[in-house]
Amino acid sequence: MDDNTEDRLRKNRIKLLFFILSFLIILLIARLVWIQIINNEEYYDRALKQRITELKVVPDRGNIYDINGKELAVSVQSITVVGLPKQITNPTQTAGKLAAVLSIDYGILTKRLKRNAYAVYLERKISDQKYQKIKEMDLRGITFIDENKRIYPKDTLASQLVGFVGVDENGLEGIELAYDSQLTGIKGKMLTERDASGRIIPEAVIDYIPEENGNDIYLTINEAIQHRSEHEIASAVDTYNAKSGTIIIMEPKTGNIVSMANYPAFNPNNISKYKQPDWRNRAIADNYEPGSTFKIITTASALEEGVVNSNDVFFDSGEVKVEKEIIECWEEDGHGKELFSEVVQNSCNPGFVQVGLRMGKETFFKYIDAFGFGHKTNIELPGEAVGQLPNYDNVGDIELATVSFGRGISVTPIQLITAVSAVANNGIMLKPNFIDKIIDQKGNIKIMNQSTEIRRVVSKTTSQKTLELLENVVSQGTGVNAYIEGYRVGGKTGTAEHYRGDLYDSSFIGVFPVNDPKFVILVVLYGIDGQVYYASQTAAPVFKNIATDLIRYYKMPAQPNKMEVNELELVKLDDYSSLGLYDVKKTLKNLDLEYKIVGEGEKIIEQSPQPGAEVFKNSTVFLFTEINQTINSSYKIMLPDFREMEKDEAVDLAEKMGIKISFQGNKSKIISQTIEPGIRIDRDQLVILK
Amino acid sequence: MLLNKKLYRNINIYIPLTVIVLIIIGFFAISSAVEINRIGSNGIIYLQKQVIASLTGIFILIFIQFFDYRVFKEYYKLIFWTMIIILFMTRMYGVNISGGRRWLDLGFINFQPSELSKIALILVLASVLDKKSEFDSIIDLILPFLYFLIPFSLIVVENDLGTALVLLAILIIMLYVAGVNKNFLYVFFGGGFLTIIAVIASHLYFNTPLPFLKEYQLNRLVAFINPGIDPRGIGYNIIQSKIALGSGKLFGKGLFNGTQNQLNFLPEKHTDFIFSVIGEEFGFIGIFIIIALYVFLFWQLFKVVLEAKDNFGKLVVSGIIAMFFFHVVENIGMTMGVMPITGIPLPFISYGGTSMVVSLIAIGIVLNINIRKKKLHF
Repeated sequence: MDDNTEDRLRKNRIKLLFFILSFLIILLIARLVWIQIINNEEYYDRALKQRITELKVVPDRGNIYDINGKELAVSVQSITVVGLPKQITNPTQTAGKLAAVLSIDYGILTKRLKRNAYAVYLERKISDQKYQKIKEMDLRGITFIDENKRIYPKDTLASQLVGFVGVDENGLEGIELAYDSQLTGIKGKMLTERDASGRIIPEAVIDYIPEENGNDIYLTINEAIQHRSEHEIASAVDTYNAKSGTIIIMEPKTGNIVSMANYPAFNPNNISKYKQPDWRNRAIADNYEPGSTFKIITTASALEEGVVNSNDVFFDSGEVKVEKEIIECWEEDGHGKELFSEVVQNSCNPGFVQVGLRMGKETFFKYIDAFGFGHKTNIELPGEAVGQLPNYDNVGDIELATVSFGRGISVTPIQLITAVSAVANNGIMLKPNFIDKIIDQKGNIKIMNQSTEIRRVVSKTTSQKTLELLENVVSQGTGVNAYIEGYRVGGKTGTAEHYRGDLYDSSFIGVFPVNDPKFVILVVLYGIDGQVYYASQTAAPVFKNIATDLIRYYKMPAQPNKMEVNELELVKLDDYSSLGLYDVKKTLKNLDLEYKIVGEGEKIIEQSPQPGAEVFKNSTVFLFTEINQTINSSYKIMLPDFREMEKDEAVDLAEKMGIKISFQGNKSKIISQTIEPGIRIDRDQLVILK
Repeated sequence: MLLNKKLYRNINIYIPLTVIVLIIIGFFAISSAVEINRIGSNGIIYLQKQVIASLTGIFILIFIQFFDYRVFKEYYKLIFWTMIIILFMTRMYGVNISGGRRWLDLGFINFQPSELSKIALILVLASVLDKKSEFDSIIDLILPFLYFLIPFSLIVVENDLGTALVLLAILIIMLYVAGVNKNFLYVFFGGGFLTIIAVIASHLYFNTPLPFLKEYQLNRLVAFINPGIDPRGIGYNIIQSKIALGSGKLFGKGLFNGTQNQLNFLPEKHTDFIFSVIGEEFGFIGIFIIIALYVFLFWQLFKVVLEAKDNFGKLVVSGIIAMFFFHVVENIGMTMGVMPITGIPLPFISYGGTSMVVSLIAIGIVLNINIRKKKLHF
């Protein structure tokens, strides 16, 4: 090769090289166009995403107070220890130092400090002492943040009602859960920039939406009374060897709950030490058999329907036969001849069976439903139970009979007190309520307590009559242990078998003063395992103690007890079948008699008691305008024990009860009867007495 | 020893001008990358050092003009052995910084011999290649290869993969320009490339041992192929750099306003990833201007090659082109994820004293060749 060709080769190679290099540069530019122009949005978003952080600004949780502003649940600032792993050079050493102070294990601390994260929680909500100690150590990569901690200054007080929160101050139980949205407030937001190592750039707050602190809740609960009732229920559970107990105090005229006490209770400041059953608010979450307290419902319903009145004559021979079952009275020998008012006083089961059957299934269950049984009261608390009614389609006479004295049905304490409060509130049922007011942080009232009427269940007259009967129970009957000198108290005991085992649920529900009901108090002792289990001896005295406290606390004036002697006047019945319905009503009203028109007919075809019978004023005359199977079976008469009675006495009793009798033989005392006592006979069935 | 006025008139003024513009752009980019705008920042120190390095480099550049470049050819053996000794000393007494012994502590300054070895190799290879006029048998290539392999091996042993690749690029282009038979180039470098691929593939799939390459260097290669594998780890640099470029869009976010830069998402931002800082703050426009300036510079350097008086001059400038070109393409390509990360600085712009001085020495040699170009025949 000569110099010239060699030169040319080199020149060509150099030129080619320039083109190759230029081509590579063009490829780079093409790539750049792709990244910076065509696809730049994606990268722009990614840049934005990795440097913008949204910080949540946690608002202060609202407090819970009693009606007088006593603190039940408050939030206080407390310190949380945070580790910044990226800044910690020797995690094991740091963990060792911290483990000496914190209650977290050394191993766990080390693991957390080694985690590949910007920040890790080490221990939340530590005490001030611990905080000071760690601060003094001055460890690199260990910092503190303020967090709110929920404190329950009254410890166990109203624990199930107030409930508790989780570690993030989220409501988990009770009011804390039910009113979480009110208490929590609204989180604030802070958009801010952070750098690659996650540090927030303080001057770079891009947007700030301020937080709204939670609202404060004032309850209708009175801390002092709550405290008293908790003390009472605790000592009663202990004394009578019960498993647990509940007390509810309600103002019947407003539906406000003054106290809702359960025992055992728990301390929400230290939830982990307690088992879950202790968290349960038994007052709303436990079903139990109400027993005789349910007779208040039977009584009010029957009075409202007119199928019974105070002076109706009953005879309890100690048992009653319904279909093939024999239902016994708790009084083995029976209560004998008794007025309906005495049936209530004596808590006489056969008497109530008679009343229940007379109402009939359809009517009685209509009232049970209207009184709210089988439904939630919709009290605004989590975990409310509904109780259990017998399946309507399966209810026969036996089931109807047992339900009339409170067996074969289960209710919650809140259901029962709401129903009885309806009786005490002139028959109008109110929704149970425990919120007095909710106030926001500026002091504006967000929610103000007002009574919510659910429905009218019975009339004012029925309400008053029922309360009078209940007053008799306390002044003369099974409830005497609840009697308070100088105050008009009405109430009813209830003893039933605990849902399993040989235990008893004993309860007392009382209203006072009966002429102007201020309070309804329900005391329930669950699972009594002891010699003394009758409600009259267990729950009634507890009621009395609490009622006495209430009287003292509210300085309720004493008033003379109702001491009017029940003067029984007699009236003789005519034959009313010739009269029109309107006239009959008028006539009977004038005679101070109550009546019940049975059937859909327009003319009276039969009456009970029979014409000519002498009956007490304020007793019931049944006027039949129609006779059919159902009516016949409902209006059967529970046969008394005529034996040992004088002839006159027997005639008088039979007349008042509407039983047809005839005599055989001439003995002055009756020695036998053709049909056994306690059998329910048809109205036209003839009983022959010897 | 005097600088002839005639020679002075021959100078291609575009070359020093372009270089000065690039250096000044670099000052701005470094200022932003070291957050000189922040209160309490010590970034000014970096800028000062860079300015001093540039002035030192310019001083040496001017000083070089007083010698005829052919003096290098005469002393190429001295250059070669000095280079070898310095590289050895670095190996023995060097300061260890981020995975490689690359720095020599001269007491007043830390200095990176591998940077200087690039120039040395160019001068040595040019001298050796200039001696032969034909390269038609393998035997002709043995000597140049020996001169290449000794420093190359020393640098590979130092774990300086980036510089090793630069040396390789210099070798290829210089052989090509020297007129080596194409078939040799195909066989040597095509074969070599395939061998490297095979070795890496066998390591990845069969876990065979990896000669020369350290695990972290392989990781960089893998991350370049798929940065999503480990976005917080080995893929982090590539992802953050691409985000910086992309989010800069067409016009950029403005000086000191790059969030990737100022919030430290970008790694090594004043040195290896300075290009991403420019891309974020000045956008595509800014970057395009930089690339245009480099292309313009290369064009002028090619002119110097074509006009060079002798073969030695052509070879030296070709080697310098190879060096700059590889630096530019590798550095820019790395920031946009089309090249593996090797830690090669962007000439004249990246922060780094040795790199700046060596680049300016290279330009000084180019100018020396340029002013002594062959006379044009009109």
